[in-house]
Amino acid sequence: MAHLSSSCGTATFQPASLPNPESPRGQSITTCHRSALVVENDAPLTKYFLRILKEKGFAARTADTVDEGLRLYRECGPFTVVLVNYCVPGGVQLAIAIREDNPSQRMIIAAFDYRSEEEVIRPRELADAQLLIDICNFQRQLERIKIDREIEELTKADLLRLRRSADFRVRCLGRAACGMTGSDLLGEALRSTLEGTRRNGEGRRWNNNVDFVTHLMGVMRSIASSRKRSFDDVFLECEVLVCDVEGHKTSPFDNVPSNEPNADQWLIQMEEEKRITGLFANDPAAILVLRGIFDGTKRSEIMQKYGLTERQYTAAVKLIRLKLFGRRKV
Amino acid sequence: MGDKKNRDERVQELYNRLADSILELSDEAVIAEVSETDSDPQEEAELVRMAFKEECKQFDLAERRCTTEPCSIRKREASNG
Repeated sequence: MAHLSSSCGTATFQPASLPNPESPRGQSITTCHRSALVVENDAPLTKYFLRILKEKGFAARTADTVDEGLRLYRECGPFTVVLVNYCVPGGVQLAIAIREDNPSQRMIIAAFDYRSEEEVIRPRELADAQLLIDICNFQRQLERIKIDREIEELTKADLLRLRRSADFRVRCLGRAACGMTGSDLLGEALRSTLEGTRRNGEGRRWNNNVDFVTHLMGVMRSIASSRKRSFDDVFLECEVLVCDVEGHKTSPFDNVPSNEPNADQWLIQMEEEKRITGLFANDPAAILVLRGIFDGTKRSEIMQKYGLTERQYTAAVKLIRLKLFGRRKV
Repeated sequence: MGDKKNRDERVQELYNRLADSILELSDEAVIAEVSETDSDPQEEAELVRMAFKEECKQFDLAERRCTTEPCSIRKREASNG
């Protein structure tokens, strides 16, 4: 068991006088969406960290001594994340000093000389700092930090957009929702995204090609559609036969209703369609849009077919959304 | 049977389209639309953000448990001889 100390016996300290790189998208460190301070005195490692940070959209500043690191922090901080290698002489003291300045500063402590996090005993001030034992995890840690940052920066409209979209997506699941709410679906989408930051995680990774809201919308769509698919999956009876203790084969189909809509369900669906259409008896444009959507016609084709302008179409869809959400103010 | 399936899909298609249509709305339009319902947009938005933060917290806790569990298991195994 080793304690985090301010110096590392095995490290060779070479001053890395790397210039600070151009911040991504021409932003300055203070205006950039995501920023990082790297305190590292090993030039190749610094270069590696900078490359990954740049790939993940972070504008980074570097320091190869703790004095320079503290000066940069006090001049340009706080940063989205501060990365300190404990091998840098005084590194741990620097991390503690930064935490004293700003207790909520997110921090990664690089401790490559340890085999596991358990071997590292951290000072109380750094108890919640992330440890970077395996350099391969750096990308994942940044992705995780990015998600926190994005959640913090989601606007009111973004959050409402996600919530409304989730509600409709669940309604679209129909019986396959099995009690799931829009809030549950949103939570599952985020959980899956967080899972994607794990090494070998099975979740859905968020890449830089799309913004966070679009990503979550896509994940919700994907979760809903796989849920629907699995609900609709057809099994052969022989695949699900089970034997009881006496060796009698029993089929779960004896107790579970078929996934296919039966006559009652078919009637319910028809009634639902009729109910929805009935809500818009006084809105001819909405009726036309509904008819088009029910038939699976594309937006442009609906407009063309029924002679609707963009404005009429948008207004009709808005009306449908509001009425179907069922909570319109009187 | 095809007709039955199709009937089921028609209503789903509607809700799917409505879910997608929200992405096309401007920020002002989304907020205005929520205001037209019984909900308070500010309150509703903050509830979503809080739920997200809670989800992250739970995920991190589970992560930490994952990294510490093997050690506890090893300790338990050692103490059991």
